[in-house]
Amino acid sequence: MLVWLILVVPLIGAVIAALCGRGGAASARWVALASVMINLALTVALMLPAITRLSARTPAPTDAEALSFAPNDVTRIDLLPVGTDSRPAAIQFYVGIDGLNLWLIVLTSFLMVPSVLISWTAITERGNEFYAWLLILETGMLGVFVSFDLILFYVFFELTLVPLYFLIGVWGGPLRRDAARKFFLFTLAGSVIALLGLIGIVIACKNQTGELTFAIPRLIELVQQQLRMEDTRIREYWHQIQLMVFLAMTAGFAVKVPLFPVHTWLPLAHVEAPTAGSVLLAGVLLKLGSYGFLRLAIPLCPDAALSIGVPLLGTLAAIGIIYGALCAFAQQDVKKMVAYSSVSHMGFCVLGLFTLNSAGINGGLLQMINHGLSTGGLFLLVGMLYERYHTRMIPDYGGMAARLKLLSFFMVFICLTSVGFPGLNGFVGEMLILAGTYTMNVPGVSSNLLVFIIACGIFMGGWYLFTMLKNVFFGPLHEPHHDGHVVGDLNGRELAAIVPVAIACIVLGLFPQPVLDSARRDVNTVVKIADAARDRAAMTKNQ
Amino acid sequence: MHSHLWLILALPLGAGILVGLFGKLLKGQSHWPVILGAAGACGISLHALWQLHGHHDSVSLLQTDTLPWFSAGGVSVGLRLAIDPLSAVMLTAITFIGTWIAIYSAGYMHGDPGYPRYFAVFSGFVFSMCGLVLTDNLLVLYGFWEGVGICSYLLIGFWFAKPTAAAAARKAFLVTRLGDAGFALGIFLLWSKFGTLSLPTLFETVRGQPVEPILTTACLLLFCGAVGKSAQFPLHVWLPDAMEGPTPASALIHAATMVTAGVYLVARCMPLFVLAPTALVVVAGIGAFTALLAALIALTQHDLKRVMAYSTVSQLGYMFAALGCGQGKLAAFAVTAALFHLFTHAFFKALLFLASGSVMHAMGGVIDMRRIGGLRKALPITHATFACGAFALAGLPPLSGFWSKDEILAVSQEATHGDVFAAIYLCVFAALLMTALLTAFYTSRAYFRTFWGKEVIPPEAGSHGHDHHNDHHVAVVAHESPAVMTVPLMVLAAGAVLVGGALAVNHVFGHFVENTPDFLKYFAVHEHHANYVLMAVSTVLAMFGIVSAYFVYVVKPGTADVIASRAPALHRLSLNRFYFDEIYAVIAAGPLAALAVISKVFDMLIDGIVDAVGRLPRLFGGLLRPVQNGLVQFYALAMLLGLTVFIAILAFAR
Amino acid sequence: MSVPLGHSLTVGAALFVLGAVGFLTRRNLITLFLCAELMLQGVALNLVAFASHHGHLHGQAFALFIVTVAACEAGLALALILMLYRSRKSLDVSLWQDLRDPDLEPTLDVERLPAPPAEEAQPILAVAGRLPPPRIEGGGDA
Repeated sequence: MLVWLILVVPLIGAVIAALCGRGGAASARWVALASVMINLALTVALMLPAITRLSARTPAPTDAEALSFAPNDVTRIDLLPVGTDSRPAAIQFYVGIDGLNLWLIVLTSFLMVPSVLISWTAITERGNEFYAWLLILETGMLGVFVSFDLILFYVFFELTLVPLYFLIGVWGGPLRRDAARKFFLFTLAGSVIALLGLIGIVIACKNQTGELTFAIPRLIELVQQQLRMEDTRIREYWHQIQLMVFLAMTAGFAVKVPLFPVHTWLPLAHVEAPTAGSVLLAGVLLKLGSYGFLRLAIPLCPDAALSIGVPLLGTLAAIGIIYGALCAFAQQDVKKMVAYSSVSHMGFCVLGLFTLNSAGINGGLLQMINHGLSTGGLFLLVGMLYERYHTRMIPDYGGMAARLKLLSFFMVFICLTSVGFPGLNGFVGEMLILAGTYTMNVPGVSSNLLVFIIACGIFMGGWYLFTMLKNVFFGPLHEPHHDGHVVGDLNGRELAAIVPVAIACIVLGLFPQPVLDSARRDVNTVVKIADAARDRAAMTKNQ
Repeated sequence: MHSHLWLILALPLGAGILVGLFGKLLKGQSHWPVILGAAGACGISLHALWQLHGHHDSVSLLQTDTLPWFSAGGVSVGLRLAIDPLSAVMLTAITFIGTWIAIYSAGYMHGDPGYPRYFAVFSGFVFSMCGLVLTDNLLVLYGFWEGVGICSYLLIGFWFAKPTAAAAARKAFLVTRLGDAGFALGIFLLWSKFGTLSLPTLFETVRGQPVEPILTTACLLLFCGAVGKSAQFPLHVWLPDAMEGPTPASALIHAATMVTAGVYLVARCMPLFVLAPTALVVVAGIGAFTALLAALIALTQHDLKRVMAYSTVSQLGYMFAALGCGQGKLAAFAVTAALFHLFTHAFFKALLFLASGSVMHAMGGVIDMRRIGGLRKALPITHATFACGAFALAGLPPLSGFWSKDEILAVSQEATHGDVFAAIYLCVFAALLMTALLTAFYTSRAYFRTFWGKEVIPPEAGSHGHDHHNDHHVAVVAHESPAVMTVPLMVLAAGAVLVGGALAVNHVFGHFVENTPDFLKYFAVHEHHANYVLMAVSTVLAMFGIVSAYFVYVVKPGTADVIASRAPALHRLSLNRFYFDEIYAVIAAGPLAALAVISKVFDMLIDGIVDAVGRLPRLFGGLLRPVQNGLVQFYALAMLLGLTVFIAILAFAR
Repeated sequence: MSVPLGHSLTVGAALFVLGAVGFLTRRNLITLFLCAELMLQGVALNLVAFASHHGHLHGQAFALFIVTVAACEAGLALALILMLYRSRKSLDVSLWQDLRDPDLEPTLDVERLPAPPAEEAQPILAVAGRLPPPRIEGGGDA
């Protein structure tokens, strides 16, 4: 029950906030804060029992069990019957929790709180609408993660675009309209192609098995059954289908992640978005792409993921790691720098997922959460700095540590999490990805080259972040031009926004095991699916 | 199980957190928790050392339960503390010297606005360093390794408003991180091949299966990390700049402990390195080359702290050269020699730095040897203690540097008789001898120029010139430092004088370290025997260096300029540190920044392509736009034509 | 007696074509409207013709609708035309191009239309028993 409740609460909050009226911005933000807090409480109530339950499952599906996901806390309601009387089928409201989405849900609910707090004074116009859109965005993001129905997944996937379009387009910076339009059209173009792929796999399953279903676990099961067949014609059919479906899904998810070279919407959208929008965009929305790879692309098309996914996406991710870091270094705008650092970090994530082994996928999954926290934190801090001086240009600043002690402290701290400092969250994920890459064992892919690139990425992450720290926060004090009044350090509200993020970074860095434990079975399911694909590939080669 | 070992980590960590959180309340008392924490850790370490020493013959190891950190996909990591003789020696050096430096800092940093911050980071450093030597898991070791790195970053950049300090901090962080990236690769290369991150298990697994060429690569990658952290060529450039930090921090981190972490790492992994002779000879080569190079640079530097920094680089090179000589049967000897030098070096180098700090304190922040001189009367205690340290470094018998340096020379000399790479080891041996001479010379040069000759005191002394230091002595004459600073100097001076001799007797130190279980298991037993010829040679070299420095700088001042003018090119090279910073700016930093700009431009290109795709519909739309001309009759005509075509199709298409 | 289908269709087609050609070539709004009506009636004639050919009344019903709608149309259209005339003081349809694409130039005549012929001024009748006012030469105010 809690699962659909966390989707409904923000919607109700959004309606109430919208009803507060133009003059009621003050009450709207309290409504927003209340609903995100309630949602966070609900999420925690959902999480605590779920951890134990998910961790207690057998570590991997046995050969007798279906090789698929088995969500917990399921709610299934028929929305749109599309089958015949003899063969009922329906697009369903099918939501649930498993190890892959639990922590992303927690991350989303968690990051909403600072997002509301950071907008407290920054949003001066049409506050009620702002918070309403923000809450709708929360529903959309949570919806993507909890969906186990293909169409529901897609609907929520697209639903996230609308609120963010307005958040950027109405409350953004000077180029907000361009940024919003570009963001919307670019990601829409990608995800429409992904929809083709999603429908394609449903129809392929119907053609081959006669069963029409949109439920993701069932689809994966059917695909696995089909792939096990010895018939060459069936095998050839699925080979073709997987190729096309995988490429179509890649189009959608790669734009969202974003991978090089389809990343250019990201810096613009980040720079123009209001701080809360940037936090959620970097913290959660980018993960929709990598989550899509993990939940749909790899399990539904394992052979294609192995044969073209690893070389193609591995290469793009590797290029992205280096390229994003280089671009980040060259930026004068702090926000743009953080945006490009996301390209670099998400490259790590995707590379981890496409190692197709346990260490790498665990690392990739963990890195999604880590990146959400650390980049979310960076955007929060940049937003706080911007609110004080109304500039984001690095050359305008210097020695801010003398003026803004707490802000500088947290900036150094979050930079450390971002570069993967041991004991903070980024480290474990990065190391697992490195381990996974070493042992990825995919024919035709040089893991030595990839680990070298990861090492370069680890170095370069420190390079641009610490150069920024040196230029902005250290050295002689050089404040940007501002209107005379003494600029104060972080206030209580800002501390309430950033401190939980910092604490979460430490907690996740020191105790990552609950995350790894609860996801173990599902990760191993994906790994087993991928291993089966490896065996098939080896067999084909031998013949 | 020995759960009290956790206290070694918990005390400094707790002190650090306490000072970090409540620094505003503690203010000028911030040093107390830190000193007590370090002292407590020191007490436990000494106790552990005593326990290990008691069990002389058995395999001796104090250890705790494993605290699991994470495990997934075959990578499982847990924190377990294990004290064996190797780590006990390191631990004692760290906590003992750390405690005294903390006490010294209470005087040196007195009145600084960042007082609590300094001590919080200081304590964090002690914690990380202890963790580094106590763990037996490579990835946890890497974690603490990064931890000491970040404390070093924070302390170098302690006076962050100084542009040079901010730049030096970033440089130190990035250069060491370059090595760390290689270290991480090495760790996971070993993991991917042998499936474990635990060092004892790894040593066990490596034996009994074909390991080449993975092992050589992995060892070289581990060595990469050591090169970065221990400032060896070619990543040595950060250490001299790191002297921008407070002097006590330099003493602790950039002289006595953190920079020796690389030596410790290679010593700890020696059971791997012995299986990879090529890796070892690279270690020896780089160590010897660095030792010579840094000694040459130290000859001409004017900044007293920089001389000491290059001397540190040089001495670390010495230790690596010793480790690199540990081919085959020499492994145990090499490790003990390197560790012995590490141990004695920690005392006298920390002492030299603290004494330099005392000079700096008295001279109002001036440390340029061209502006000070003849201070032996003004600063009697500083002078005496500095002399102890300097002559220990120069290797004058019977001070401690002599004994440990002699061990290293002995092991490198024995390596020249070995079966492999004899020619290279001969060069290493020669370079080390040369370095011994140069070391004696530049150390004495620094000593004589600072404390002998005509008394020169810069005007900053006694005034408020010290930019960070709120000095409350207003006297115009230079003054000796307060007791809180001189007592640590005297303690460390005693160590610098006595430690070497005391531990060299009957090879106490060597036997103790050889009892490390991993070494007992995998290394051949080494017979200690004194090499009197070599001792004599090294004594002569040291004496020659000291005497010639005395002649050049005290008896006939000005000789140095004459010598410099004889070999201007060499002098310029040395003075400009062989232009390494400039070369790196051209071959590394510059191209990387240029590449970044190119990427940025390229990104605009990609973005342009995307925008161009976005403009395509508009372009096609432009072709049809004139149709929308607003004329009713034109529309009617279009309808009519359309209808005609439609009917025509209906009529004729069947 | 019945009119052959072809005859009715020919008349209907002729009406439609006359209307269409008129609609496309004339520029007076009222004429355009009348031409549209002409097309409508041509179609209505077609419907009636086919209905009588098939022997039922569907077409007639349709034609009745058309006539009714045309009547409503006439009322609305003439009112609209009056409004248009008031704002531009002209019935030329080409003056109304405001719905074109914003970037396009308006379409203008290559040759200007000849000025409308001066109308004969209407006689002004005097009140009974008075002399008419003197006529001003050339003062034909329309």
